[in-house]
Amino acid sequence: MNISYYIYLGILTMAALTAMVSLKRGLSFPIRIIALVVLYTGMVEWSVFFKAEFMLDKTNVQMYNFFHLVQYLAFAYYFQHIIHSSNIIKVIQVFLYLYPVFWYTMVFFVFNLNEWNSYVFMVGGVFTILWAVVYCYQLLAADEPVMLRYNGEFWIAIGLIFFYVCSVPYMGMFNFLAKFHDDLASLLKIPLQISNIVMYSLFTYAFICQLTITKKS
Amino acid sequence: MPVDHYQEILAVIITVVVLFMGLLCVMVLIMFNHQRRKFRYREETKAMSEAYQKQLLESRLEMQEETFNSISREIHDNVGQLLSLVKVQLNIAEQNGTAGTDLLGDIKTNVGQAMTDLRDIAKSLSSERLQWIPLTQAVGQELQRIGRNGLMQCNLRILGEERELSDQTKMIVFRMVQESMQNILKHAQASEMEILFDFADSELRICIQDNGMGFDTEKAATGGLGLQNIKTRAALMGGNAHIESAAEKGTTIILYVPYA
Repeated sequence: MNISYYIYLGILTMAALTAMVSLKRGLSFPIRIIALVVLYTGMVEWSVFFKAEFMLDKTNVQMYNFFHLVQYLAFAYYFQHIIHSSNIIKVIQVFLYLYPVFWYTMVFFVFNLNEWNSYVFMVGGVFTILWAVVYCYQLLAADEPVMLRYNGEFWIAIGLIFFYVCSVPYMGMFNFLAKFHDDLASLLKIPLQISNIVMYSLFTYAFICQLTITKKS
Repeated sequence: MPVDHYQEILAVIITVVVLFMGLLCVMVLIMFNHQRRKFRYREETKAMSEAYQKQLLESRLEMQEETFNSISREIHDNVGQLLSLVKVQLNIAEQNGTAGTDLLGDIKTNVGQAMTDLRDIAKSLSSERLQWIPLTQAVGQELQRIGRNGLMQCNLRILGEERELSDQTKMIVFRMVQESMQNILKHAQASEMEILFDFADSELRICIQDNGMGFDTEKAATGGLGLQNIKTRAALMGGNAHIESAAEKGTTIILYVPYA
């Protein structure tokens, strides 16, 4: 375990705490979806940490495989609520139906539950980048100006773009790296953790700025 | 791949991640800047709209003031004179002790005329009435009122099918035409006045023409506030005004008014 991993866990815990406050304050429905995802991520990451530190069985890939399904569906559902383009909403709807089928096929027929499923991560990640970029374009092209500083959805989208653009190439070839260059695979976890830190910091800011708006109004 | 190269690869990847962070920051800054511009544009549009509304209000108040002045003159010169005459006739009847049938008939005619004049004045004052009748009808009634005193021959011509204008535009157009007619009455010394409404497909063209003494448009353009007012008001409606005149050749004012 390196220092960046502990920083990541700390930032994630902070994001989870602000997510809990957001849920308690009853913020907008899309933000609550992300708050739930962050809470779930916190639980998964802390479980992985305890398993790695204190248990004999250190495999955690099953948890991540299931986590990816929930996470990508939640992100798609979130963007379905904040994107206005009816065509994109339809595309997201199709994704929401097809992704679980794809996940099931990949996890149980192509790979297995105890193996890192790179295709599931890559497909979900690429689509999440797409939804986030569409949302940013929507903000850019909208007639009505938006106070970006207080727009939680915007910061969440930026965080997702940053994390997935950094992590999709690495996670996509993780199996290859782990098999042939295990040391490199371990070293590359540092940039991944940095991108995680940036993303969850942005999520924390997104929750806080929403809380500020609620307090002001 | 040699293990020594791993650190190098890591350094390259971290550099790429940092570069990507920088790129994302640039993107965020561009979005912020774009939103700021949008806010500024909205503020400017709002300010322009407020200035337009203010100008419109000022123009309406100005026109109202002018209408009141002309009506005041009308009451003083026509109704006032008629009622003074009636008072004199009643004094004569009082002094004589009896009133002859002819005198009573004259008094009745004069009171009737005063009532008609008052009714016409009331009509031309009412902006509310304009909402219910077509613009051409309102202008036609004004022409009838002016033509009734026999000093001037007034004609109204309509080309095309009359199209509805918004209440605001209709009111402004009516007051502009009314003011032009008052100007002809006061200054032109004309014997004939013609108003043409041409309801073309693209816009309404109103031509107000007289055969009076005319004026030098170049001198009037620099000194005359009235002509400038006509142009400003036409511009307020999104249209424009064109004024043609020459000494002893009458005056023609053409107003171009968009339908929407």
